[in-house]
Amino acid sequence: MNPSTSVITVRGLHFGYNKNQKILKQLNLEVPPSSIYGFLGANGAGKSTTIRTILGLLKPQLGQVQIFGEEVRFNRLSALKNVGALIEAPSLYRHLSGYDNLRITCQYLGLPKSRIGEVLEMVNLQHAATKRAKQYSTGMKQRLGLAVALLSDPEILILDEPVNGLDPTGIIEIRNIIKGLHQRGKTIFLSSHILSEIEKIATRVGIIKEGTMVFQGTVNELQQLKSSSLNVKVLVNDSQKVENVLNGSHKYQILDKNQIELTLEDQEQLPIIIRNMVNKGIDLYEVIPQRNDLEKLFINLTSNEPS
Amino acid sequence: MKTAAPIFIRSLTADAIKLKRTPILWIALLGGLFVTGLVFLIHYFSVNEILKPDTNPWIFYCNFGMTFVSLLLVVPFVVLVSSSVMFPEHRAESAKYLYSLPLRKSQFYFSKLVMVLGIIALTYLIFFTGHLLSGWLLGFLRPQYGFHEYAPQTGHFAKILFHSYLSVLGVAGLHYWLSVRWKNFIIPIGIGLCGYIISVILSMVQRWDMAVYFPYAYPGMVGNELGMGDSAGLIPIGWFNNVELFSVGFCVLFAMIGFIEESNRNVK
Repeated sequence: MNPSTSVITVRGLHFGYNKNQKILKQLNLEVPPSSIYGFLGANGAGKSTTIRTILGLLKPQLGQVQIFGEEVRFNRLSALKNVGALIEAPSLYRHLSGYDNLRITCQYLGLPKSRIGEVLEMVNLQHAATKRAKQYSTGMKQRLGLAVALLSDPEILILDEPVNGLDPTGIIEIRNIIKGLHQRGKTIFLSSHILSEIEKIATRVGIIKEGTMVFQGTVNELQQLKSSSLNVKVLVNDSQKVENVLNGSHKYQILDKNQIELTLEDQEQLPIIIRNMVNKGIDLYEVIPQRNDLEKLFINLTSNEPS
Repeated sequence: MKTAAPIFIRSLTADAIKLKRTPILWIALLGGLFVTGLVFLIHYFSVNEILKPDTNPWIFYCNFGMTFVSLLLVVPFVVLVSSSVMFPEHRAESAKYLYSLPLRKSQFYFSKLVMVLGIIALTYLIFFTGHLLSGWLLGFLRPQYGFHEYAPQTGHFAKILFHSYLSVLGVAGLHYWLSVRWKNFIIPIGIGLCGYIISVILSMVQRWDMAVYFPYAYPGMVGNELGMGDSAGLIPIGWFNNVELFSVGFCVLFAMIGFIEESNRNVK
């Protein structure tokens, strides 16, 4: 992707809270305009650190962060002009109403009060505007945080784990709001450790592992990765005999006396192996292709153990 | 469309909204009225021993009030106000949100400092008004003391209270920094308590040469000398004195140290 077309560009980012600690290592990331960028990683992989560095809350040791071509480190104000952010649990003044929480940001940014009603409607919180934030449920707090981020009508929304701790209804509500915002042309940068969540809405995915990007591309490109290998479970009368047939030429795992799982480089190998098994007198009961789904791929990509 | 109000005024308004439903304004009101109530009761019950006959009772009443405020109220009060103003920010973990807005960090930092100094000034104003009203009431309840025979010394009273206010700015600047720095308000309050005790000890042993470098001692020094007329080692410099100028200097110094630290900190 041409960097000039990206709304967020991160290059060679290094960050640690001290010299010996390396939370982000040579991190590169590009968010195209009008996309929903799903930023995936296991807990502790460096997602929140990356987001805080993008927003200028953390100062990187090395590397560049640009938003609309403006370097955040040196032009923080102009870089953040079109950004709305919700970082983990929203920063709400719990003793104040939802309306007053929004009024505070309106004051800071010099926005008209009429925006408050508009954003409350967008997140479906009009009915709770006068209620104190401490009386809100977790989902309502999250939606209020989203409303605060939307007040300035930003072109980019950066959301750090926005569905964390929400019940299924809350997750669906937030997902629908994000989809709606995307339809209005907003670019959304969304972090999560839940692949299924990202899979449902993201147009582009980045996967971080131990502070380094291990994958970046479209959801289709991610799916192509998974289809390069094929896992097959074979039900036979004796797994040990199958082992002799394979003779170390393929990866396999004996599940029990009658089941064995094969990992094949391509599907052309499957009929050859089956023919060999039949020729060696093995009784074959069933051949079940295993779904190498994104969840598995995600675990493979982010796990510390060799796959 | 953006509103046209200057950016700093907008920040102050935002900070004022945050005071809603907090006890901070009540603390300011009760702080001011508590001391005036105490001074009123002392005079009501033992005025014969305190006030001299055939002199303007307002002068002594106001001086006594100012000394009382300076010695008893201001240091613990300033510590409490600074911590209370910052508490909602720490609880909301607002730094991660505020510092991701396209606004300068100085806007948040100095607006809050002005808010703290404004609340302290408001307490002085409440004390000023309450004290004059209590003197007027004392004139009714104890007419023999002559409060209604003399004009209240409002100008004099405002002047000595202003001196007292200046003397507290050093502690205010220090405690604002400490409150921004530490989420746990027990730490600034603990430091404030220690500072207050040391200032009382310095005052008791009259080591003004040391006290002049210790901001916690300034309100007591100014209260003693300008209120009760006891020498507290103040050196007049024009309309002000050395302690007041030190106090303002320390306020600026601590506020700037706090700002530099806050600007450079990583928001985790």
